Amino acid sequence: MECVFGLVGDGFALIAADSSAVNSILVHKSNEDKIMVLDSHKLLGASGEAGDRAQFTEYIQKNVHLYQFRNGIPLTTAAAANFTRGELATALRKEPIFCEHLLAGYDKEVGPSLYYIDYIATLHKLDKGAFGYGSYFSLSMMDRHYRNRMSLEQAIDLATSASSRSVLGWSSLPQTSSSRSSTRMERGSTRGVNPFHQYDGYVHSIVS
Amino acid sequence: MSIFEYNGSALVAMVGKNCFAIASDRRLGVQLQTVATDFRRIYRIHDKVYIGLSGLATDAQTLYQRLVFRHKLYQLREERDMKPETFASLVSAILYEKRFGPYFCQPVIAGLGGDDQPFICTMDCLGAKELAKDFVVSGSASESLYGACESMYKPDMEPEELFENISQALLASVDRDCLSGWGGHVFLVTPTEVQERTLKGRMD
Repeated sequence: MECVFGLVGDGFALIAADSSAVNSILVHKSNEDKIMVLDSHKLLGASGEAGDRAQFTEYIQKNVHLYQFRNGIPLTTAAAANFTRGELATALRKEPIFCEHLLAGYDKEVGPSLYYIDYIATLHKLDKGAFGYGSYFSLSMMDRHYRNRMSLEQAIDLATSASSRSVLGWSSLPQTSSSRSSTRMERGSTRGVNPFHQYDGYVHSIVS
Repeated sequence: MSIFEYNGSALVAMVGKNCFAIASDRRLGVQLQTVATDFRRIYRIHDKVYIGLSGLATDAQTLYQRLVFRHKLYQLREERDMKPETFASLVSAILYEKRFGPYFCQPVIAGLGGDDQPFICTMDCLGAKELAKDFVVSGSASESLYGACESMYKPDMEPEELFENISQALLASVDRDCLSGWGGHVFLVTPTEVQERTLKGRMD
């Protein structure tokens, strides 16, 4: 029932996620943040079993930090994605981790990138990707409206419209202004006006 | 749905005159949903040996990483590249190691062996090798591929004709399989060069 999707634009990568934590008919929480900040230029949006999601994304975050402490330089996005994939693949035939991920990052040499990592550890680099029931709406919307090198404003508009039909989606997202002067995380949430849309959306983007 | 058809795939390799071609589709799906349309299934081991891995994408990626590792070790020890027949035996052994918990992949191996003679083989997920002199197929579209290749194949084709035939066979077959398609990748390997081409087919 969750909705996590991401896309790559002009000098930025963006991940949007719904903020619901539900268990059948019970809403545990409606402002759950499912996007883990790995470091200043990497995000890991995850969806799936709640315990696995929280625990595994934190595990990846700590290991990314450990690499930086040990080696003095941060991991590249591709390396972080392959590390995540490796952990999932190793666990797959022992105790599988039922959580799907979108890893977005910005590297100086490569630019923005987005990696799709399945719960069975399928890794693929993509320009636009989505998970959960919300993906049935968001993938089609992105197929129709996504262009190469979109601006941040266009991408946030797309993120807003891509999730408006999903029961756990959101119907509006904040207007954010972005400047390209430095690396920045932007994050906004708002409540939709429609009473059925009570959930926030969190949008994180990494700007070059 | 079978675990081999979870991601959807189509692979074919054909032998020509002192050359071979190996082709795959480009779709990566999760059952009915298409996730990507530029997924690579054919990997280069070295200039004269290529392996295509159909079946579950995660096991294909894991298996490829293990094979590259083993081949690099072999290169360090033997100071030369592996012959395709040797490589096929290596793949077979690695797959059989997991006899009671296998990798859900069906490899297609194609290479130029001694005297640049083309070599192709396929195997099931447990490593049972099947050598062929004409063509081998694998993937969720394998039944259609068998039919298309059987009718289009001729022995001793020149590279350009081989490329044309393998492309037509692949595109015709994936059109009959909903889990594979979205174009194709073809590697045409001769003793002197490797040509990689992308096919545009029905994008659905």
